[in-house]
Amino acid sequence: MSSYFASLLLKILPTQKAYAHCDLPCGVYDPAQARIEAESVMKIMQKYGEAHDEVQKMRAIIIKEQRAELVKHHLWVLWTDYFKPEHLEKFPNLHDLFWRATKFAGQTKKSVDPADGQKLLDLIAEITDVFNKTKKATK
Amino acid sequence: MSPTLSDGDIVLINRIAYWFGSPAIGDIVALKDPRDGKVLIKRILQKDRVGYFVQGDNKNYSTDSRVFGMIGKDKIVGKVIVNNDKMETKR
Repeated sequence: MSSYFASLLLKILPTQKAYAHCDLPCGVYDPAQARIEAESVMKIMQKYGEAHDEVQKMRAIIIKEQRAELVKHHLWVLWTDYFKPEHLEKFPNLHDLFWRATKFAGQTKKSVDPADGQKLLDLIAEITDVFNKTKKATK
Repeated sequence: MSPTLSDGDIVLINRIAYWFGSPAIGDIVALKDPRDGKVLIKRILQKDRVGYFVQGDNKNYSTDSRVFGMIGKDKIVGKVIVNNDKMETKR
Protein backbone atom coordinates (compact mmCIF):
# COMPACT_ATOMS: atom_id res chain seq x y z
CA MET A 1 0.00 0.00 0.00
CA SER A 2 1.53 3.30 -1.00
CA SER A 3 2.04 5.96 1.60
CA TYR A 4 -0.28 8.20 -0.48
CA PHE A 5 -3.08 5.68 -0.23
CA ALA A 6 -2.36 5.22 3.46
CA SER A 7 -2.58 8.92 4.19
CA LEU A 8 -5.78 9.13 2.14
CA LEU A 9 -7.33 6.36 4.21
CA LEU A 10 -6.23 8.08 7.38
CA LYS A 11 -8.09 11.20 6.29
CA ILE A 12 -11.35 9.51 5.39
CA LEU A 13 -11.58 6.71 7.92
CA PRO A 14 -12.11 7.13 11.66
CA THR A 15 -8.93 6.36 13.57
CA GLN A 16 -8.44 5.03 17.04
CA LYS A 17 -5.44 4.05 19.10
CA ALA A 18 -4.98 0.31 19.72
CA TYR A 19 -2.49 -1.32 22.03
CA ALA A 20 -0.39 -4.30 21.02
CA HIS A 21 1.74 -3.59 23.97
CA CYS A 22 4.30 -5.70 25.71
CA ASP A 23 5.80 -5.18 29.10
CA LEU A 24 9.08 -3.33 28.97
CA PRO A 25 11.28 -6.23 28.02
CA CYS A 26 14.36 -5.43 30.06
CA GLY A 27 14.50 -9.15 30.82
CA VAL A 28 16.74 -8.75 33.85
CA TYR A 29 15.45 -10.90 36.69
CA ASP A 30 17.33 -12.40 39.61
CA PRO A 31 16.11 -13.77 42.94
CA ALA A 32 19.34 -12.37 44.44
CA GLN A 33 17.50 -9.06 44.91
CA ALA A 34 14.98 -10.72 47.23
CA ARG A 35 17.69 -12.75 48.96
CA ILE A 36 19.81 -9.68 49.79
CA GLU A 37 16.82 -7.90 51.33
CA ALA A 38 15.91 -11.07 53.27
CA GLU A 39 19.48 -11.29 54.58
CA SER A 40 19.04 -7.74 55.85
CA VAL A 41 15.81 -8.79 57.57
CA MET A 42 17.59 -11.63 59.36
CA LYS A 43 20.61 -9.50 60.36
CA ILE A 44 18.30 -6.81 61.70
CA MET A 45 16.50 -9.44 63.80
CA GLN A 46 19.86 -10.47 65.27
CA LYS A 47 20.85 -6.86 65.92
CA TYR A 48 17.49 -6.22 67.57
CA GLY A 49 18.22 -9.06 70.00
CA GLU A 50 21.66 -7.68 70.79
CA ALA A 51 20.60 -4.04 71.15
CA HIS A 52 20.01 -2.44 74.55
CA ASP A 53 19.23 0.99 73.28
CA GLU A 54 15.49 1.65 72.75
CA VAL A 55 16.13 4.00 69.84
CA GLN A 56 18.31 1.39 68.18
CA LYS A 57 15.58 -1.22 68.66
CA MET A 58 12.98 1.10 67.17
CA ARG A 59 15.17 1.81 64.15
CA ALA A 60 15.70 -1.91 63.68
CA ILE A 61 11.93 -2.51 63.61
CA ILE A 62 11.34 0.29 61.10
CA ILE A 63 14.13 -0.83 58.76
CA LYS A 64 13.10 -4.47 59.03
CA GLU A 65 9.57 -3.47 57.99
CA GLN A 66 10.95 -1.73 54.89
CA ARG A 67 13.28 -4.58 53.94
CA ALA A 68 10.54 -7.18 54.33
CA GLU A 69 8.33 -5.11 52.02
CA LEU A 70 11.16 -5.05 49.46
CA VAL A 71 11.42 -8.84 49.67
CA LYS A 72 7.73 -9.06 48.81
CA HIS A 73 8.16 -6.61 45.95
CA HIS A 74 11.09 -8.46 44.37
CA LEU A 75 9.34 -11.80 44.71
CA TRP A 76 6.19 -10.41 43.12
CA VAL A 77 8.19 -9.11 40.14
CA LEU A 78 9.68 -12.56 39.62
CA TRP A 79 6.35 -14.25 40.09
CA THR A 80 4.31 -12.05 37.79
CA ASP A 81 6.89 -10.97 35.20
CA TYR A 82 9.57 -13.63 34.93
CA PHE A 83 7.73 -16.90 35.48
CA LYS A 84 5.49 -18.06 32.64
CA PRO A 85 2.77 -20.73 32.30
CA GLU A 86 5.30 -23.17 30.80
CA HIS A 87 7.38 -22.89 33.99
CA LEU A 88 4.31 -23.71 36.04
CA GLU A 89 3.79 -26.85 33.98
CA LYS A 90 7.29 -28.02 34.89
CA PHE A 91 7.13 -26.83 38.50
CA PRO A 92 3.53 -27.25 39.61
CA ASN A 93 4.31 -26.07 43.16
CA LEU A 94 5.49 -22.67 41.90
CA HIS A 95 2.35 -20.71 42.87
CA ASP A 96 2.27 -22.32 46.29
CA LEU A 97 5.96 -21.62 46.81
CA PHE A 98 5.58 -17.92 45.94
CA TRP A 99 2.44 -17.66 48.01
CA ARG A 100 4.22 -19.12 51.04
CA ALA A 101 7.35 -16.99 50.53
CA THR A 102 5.54 -13.67 50.07
CA LYS A 103 3.19 -14.46 52.93
CA PHE A 104 6.14 -15.32 55.14
CA ALA A 105 7.90 -12.10 54.14
CA GLY A 106 4.87 -10.37 55.64
CA GLN A 107 5.17 -12.53 58.75
CA THR A 108 8.75 -11.41 59.33
CA LYS A 109 7.47 -7.87 59.87
CA LYS A 110 5.80 -9.13 63.01
CA SER A 111 8.71 -11.23 64.23
CA VAL A 112 12.13 -10.46 65.71
CA ASP A 113 13.16 -14.12 65.79
CA PRO A 114 16.19 -14.76 63.51
CA ALA A 115 14.85 -18.28 62.95
CA ASP A 116 11.97 -16.68 61.01
CA GLY A 117 14.52 -14.69 59.02
CA GLN A 118 16.26 -17.93 58.16
CA LYS A 119 12.98 -19.55 57.17
CA LEU A 120 12.36 -16.69 54.73
CA LEU A 121 15.86 -17.18 53.29
CA ASP A 122 15.17 -20.91 52.90
CA LEU A 123 11.99 -20.19 50.94
CA ILE A 124 13.87 -17.78 48.68
CA ALA A 125 16.55 -20.45 48.20
CA GLU A 126 13.82 -22.81 46.96
CA ILE A 127 12.66 -20.16 44.49
CA THR A 128 16.26 -19.57 43.40
CA ASP A 129 16.62 -23.28 42.74
CA VAL A 130 13.56 -23.29 40.46
CA PHE A 131 14.74 -20.05 38.81
CA ASN A 132 18.17 -21.55 38.05
CA LYS A 133 16.57 -24.65 36.55
CA THR A 134 14.42 -22.54 34.22
CA LYS A 135 17.48 -20.52 33.21
CA LYS A 136 19.42 -23.69 32.43
CA ALA A 137 16.52 -24.94 30.33
CA THR A 138 16.65 -21.82 28.13
CA LYS A 139 20.42 -21.94 27.57
CA MET B 1 2.92 -7.85 18.71
CA SER B 2 6.56 -7.58 17.78
CA PRO B 3 7.87 -8.54 15.23
CA THR B 4 4.58 -8.33 13.27
CA LEU B 5 3.74 -4.84 14.49
CA SER B 6 5.84 -2.08 15.94
CA ASP B 7 5.01 0.94 18.02
CA GLY B 8 3.32 3.59 15.85
CA ASP B 9 2.29 1.25 13.05
CA ILE B 10 -1.06 1.98 11.44
CA VAL B 11 -3.35 -0.90 10.63
CA LEU B 12 -6.76 -1.21 9.04
CA ILE B 13 -9.48 -2.91 11.03
CA ASN B 14 -12.21 -4.67 9.11
CA ARG B 15 -15.18 -4.33 11.43
CA ILE B 16 -17.55 -6.37 9.28
CA ALA B 17 -15.18 -9.33 8.76
CA TYR B 18 -16.88 -11.42 11.42
CA TRP B 19 -20.48 -10.38 10.93
CA PHE B 20 -21.26 -13.58 9.06
CA GLY B 21 -18.30 -15.70 10.01
CA SER B 22 -16.02 -16.42 12.90
CA PRO B 23 -12.43 -15.47 13.54
CA ALA B 24 -10.01 -18.21 12.50
CA ILE B 25 -6.96 -19.44 14.33
CA GLY B 26 -4.04 -17.28 13.26
CA ASP B 27 -6.13 -14.17 12.57
CA ILE B 28 -4.86 -10.95 14.05
CA VAL B 29 -7.77 -9.20 15.70
CA ALA B 30 -8.54 -5.96 17.47
CA LEU B 31 -10.35 -6.66 20.70
CA LYS B 32 -11.59 -4.90 23.77
CA ASP B 33 -9.54 -5.73 26.85
CA PRO B 34 -12.07 -7.41 29.17
CA ARG B 35 -10.43 -5.65 32.11
CA ASP B 36 -10.68 -2.03 31.04
CA GLY B 37 -12.14 -1.87 27.52
CA LYS B 38 -8.94 -0.63 25.88
CA VAL B 39 -8.56 -1.77 22.28
CA LEU B 40 -5.78 -4.35 21.95
CA ILE B 41 -4.29 -6.20 19.01
CA LYS B 42 -3.53 -9.90 19.45
CA ARG B 43 -3.49 -13.12 17.46
CA ILE B 44 -6.09 -15.89 17.85
CA LEU B 45 -4.26 -18.94 19.09
CA GLN B 46 -7.14 -21.26 19.96
CA LYS B 47 -10.89 -21.23 19.83
CA ASP B 48 -13.59 -23.35 21.33
CA ARG B 49 -17.17 -23.05 22.56
CA VAL B 50 -16.10 -20.91 25.50
CA GLY B 51 -14.38 -18.29 23.39
CA TYR B 52 -11.09 -17.28 21.89
CA PHE B 53 -7.62 -17.54 23.36
CA VAL B 54 -5.56 -14.62 22.11
CA GLN B 55 -1.84 -14.11 22.46
CA GLY B 56 0.69 -11.51 21.38
CA ASP B 57 3.35 -12.53 18.88
CA ASN B 58 6.06 -11.46 21.32
CA LYS B 59 4.76 -14.06 23.71
CA ASN B 60 7.44 -13.73 26.37
CA TYR B 61 6.39 -10.17 27.07
CA SER B 62 2.77 -9.99 25.98
CA THR B 63 -0.21 -9.44 28.24
CA ASP B 64 -2.99 -11.51 26.72
CA SER B 65 -5.40 -14.40 27.39
CA ARG B 66 -2.80 -15.90 29.72
CA VAL B 67 -3.57 -12.92 31.95
CA PHE B 68 -7.20 -11.99 31.24
CA GLY B 69 -8.52 -15.37 30.04
CA MET B 70 -10.53 -16.37 27.00
CA ILE B 71 -12.55 -13.66 25.31
CA GLY B 72 -16.00 -13.84 23.75
CA LYS B 73 -16.75 -12.89 20.15
CA ASP B 74 -18.55 -9.80 21.47
CA LYS B 75 -15.17 -8.45 22.58
CA ILE B 76 -13.69 -8.68 19.09
CA VAL B 77 -13.81 -5.37 17.27
CA GLY B 78 -12.64 -6.63 13.90
CA LYS B 79 -9.97 -8.27 11.82
CA VAL B 80 -6.65 -6.48 11.59
CA ILE B 81 -5.23 -6.08 8.13
CA VAL B 82 -1.48 -5.87 8.35
CA ASN B 83 0.47 -4.56 5.43
CA ASN B 84 3.79 -6.23 4.95
CA ASP B 85 5.31 -3.02 3.64
CA LYS B 86 4.28 -1.34 6.89
CA MET B 87 2.16 1.70 6.11
CA GLU B 88 3.98 4.87 6.86
CA THR B 89 2.14 7.68 8.51
CA LYS B 90 2.48 11.14 7.13
CA ARG B 91 -0.44 13.18 8.31
